[in-house]
Amino acid sequence: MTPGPSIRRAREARRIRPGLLILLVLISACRGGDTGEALPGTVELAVTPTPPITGPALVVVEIHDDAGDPVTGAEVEVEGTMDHAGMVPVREVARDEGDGRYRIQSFEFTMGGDWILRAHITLPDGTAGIHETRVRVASGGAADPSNGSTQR
Amino acid sequence: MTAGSGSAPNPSSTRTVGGVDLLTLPVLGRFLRWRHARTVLQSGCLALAAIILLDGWFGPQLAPRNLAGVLPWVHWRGFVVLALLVAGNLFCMACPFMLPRRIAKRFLPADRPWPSMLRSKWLAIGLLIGFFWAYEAFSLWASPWLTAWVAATYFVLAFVIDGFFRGASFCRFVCPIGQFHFVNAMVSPTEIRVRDPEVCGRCETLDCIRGRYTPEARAHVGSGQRSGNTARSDASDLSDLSDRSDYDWQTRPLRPDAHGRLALAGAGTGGPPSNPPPPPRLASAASGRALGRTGLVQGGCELALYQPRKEGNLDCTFCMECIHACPHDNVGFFTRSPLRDLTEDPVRSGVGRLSGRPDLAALALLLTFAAFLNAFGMVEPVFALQDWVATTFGITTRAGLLLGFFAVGLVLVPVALTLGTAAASRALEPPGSVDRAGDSLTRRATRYAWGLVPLGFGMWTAHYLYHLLIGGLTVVPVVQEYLGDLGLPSGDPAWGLGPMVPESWLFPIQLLTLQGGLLVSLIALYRIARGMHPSSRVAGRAFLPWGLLATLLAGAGIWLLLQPMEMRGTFFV
Repeated sequence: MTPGPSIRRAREARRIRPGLLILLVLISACRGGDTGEALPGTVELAVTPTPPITGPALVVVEIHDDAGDPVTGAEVEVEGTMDHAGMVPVREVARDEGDGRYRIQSFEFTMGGDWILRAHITLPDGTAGIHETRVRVASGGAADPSNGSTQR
Repeated sequence: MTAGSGSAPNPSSTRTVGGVDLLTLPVLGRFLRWRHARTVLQSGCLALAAIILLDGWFGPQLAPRNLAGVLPWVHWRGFVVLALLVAGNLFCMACPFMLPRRIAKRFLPADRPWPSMLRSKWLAIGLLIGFFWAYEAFSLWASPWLTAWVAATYFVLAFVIDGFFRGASFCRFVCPIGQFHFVNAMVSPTEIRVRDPEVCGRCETLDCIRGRYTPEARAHVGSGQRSGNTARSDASDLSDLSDRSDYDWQTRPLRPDAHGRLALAGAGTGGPPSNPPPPPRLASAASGRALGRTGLVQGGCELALYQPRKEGNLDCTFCMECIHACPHDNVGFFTRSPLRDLTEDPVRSGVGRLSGRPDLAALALLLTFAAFLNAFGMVEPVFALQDWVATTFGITTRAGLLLGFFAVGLVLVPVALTLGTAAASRALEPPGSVDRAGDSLTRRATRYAWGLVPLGFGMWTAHYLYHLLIGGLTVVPVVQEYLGDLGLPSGDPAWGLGPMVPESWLFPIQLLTLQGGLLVSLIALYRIARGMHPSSRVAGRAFLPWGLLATLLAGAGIWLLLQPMEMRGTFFV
């Protein structure tokens, strides 16, 4: 007896389902991280004040190549995010000051706690990578109930 | 009535059928009555869980950019408290862990009784403390990989436990998340209960707990040839109950008494019969499996909640099996005032009396105090305290430090405060106003602990809603990035998205939930006191220390809300 269309569909679905699951796993496995290529030389990221407190901070990124010479002409964007999900990340483009120094005058730490600073760097030769630094930001000043960012 | 009389048998149900039956509403009611409604909800959550597992294991390990970092810790927790606040235990209803468990029930024996020594909430309490500790010690919120493993462990545990044990043993005795839902659903504005108790009084089949079978299978069941496996949906939990000698108490028909209240048929005004008849004996598991597969049309309650004697939301997963099983269409999904659930102490099917369950009271207290301790872990002063404790006591490891904090914050402080308050409450009562027989501090604390649940829930809500409201929209760019990484069109991730409401609203909302919790707690505590003392004057004096404790806790909560928030100390402690 020939099975009806609904039974055929169900059988096809059963055959397809494991394949879909494997495909989903494989696709997700391809997602990976976003650390980019390994950057040659050294990258240093400094925050002032040290230790940082909530509010604006000075962020300076210094880039040197393998020979220790400063790298100018790179594009640098610093992204700050917290280790707890649910906070809007802070993203600022750094200004090239020459001599391998890239500066963000007012990087806003919106909340106290553990921050992950990620400098997205594109070197003049097109090499791109991410330099990651973790900092503890202290809460500065008294809490202001009108500002939810400093509240529980 | 005296303080010691809380345990007096009271077979009468004082429930009054009121409120709106959501099942009668046009669209929502039709959906909820649909037999596959729960499966649809569970399937949606299962799909989300699968994505969380995959992204947690294979995605970027930066929590704010991983769905396993965002969905569980920002959205799931926020929507859980929101659902409990405005609807009910919807997240047990939609629990994705129960779908694989259905497969386990089909292919594994599922015929073992849950060990009698574990037939309480103590195991779940231990697991909850372990979870709260692990959350801090391993910074679960910051690790998508660990978050995925926690979820996977949940799937495995539910599968294995319910694959080998009868009924919903995992939900009832193990699941820490479920216990959170059960206790806090006491504050929820809905419950599942019978529409007309007199219909239950005439019911002979008890399908709401036994399940509904084909006529052939019913004859088989009726002949006493029950099996262990059929118990997963019918008699298993009756069997469990029989171990506490209240099988008959739970399932005997109810009849209206002279006052129009329901009472056990033939029970007079007394309590459970001293020698209840034993439950049906069980046949082989093999025949049970065959019967279960061929004869079961609709399962009954797997958590041993016999509808005519079910009271409130404790242990109710809102699975709606009873609604589908009832042949008289006599179970509804009603709106209600939560105060009765918290303040009255009838015999609850599957639960017993709250006053006789110190394990349940300990669970309620744990969740109440954990709400404050969990929030305390996110404010600036905790770091100073941690440093001081570590230096003073020479504790060098984060895990050890947290263990000390949790032992003090979740065990010593709650026990000391509640017993101390119970002692103060008793001391304030005039001599002779209390029957000291059977009146112990533990029993008093067990009874009054439920009055603190709304306050704890208010604090949980303030905390979890904060995360949801300040960061609910951060999921948008994360999903965009996820889809983009998979090669699907999604546009540029909108990383600027975050708050769901203006930030200036957050503190007032938090204050509102906390103060609302305090208000309900104060009312509940006073009503508990009134239930224990006929004199309002004596009740007022007995209530005072409890009201003071609730107010002090709420004050501590406000202080926490006013502290500068610091998102955890992951890196350096």
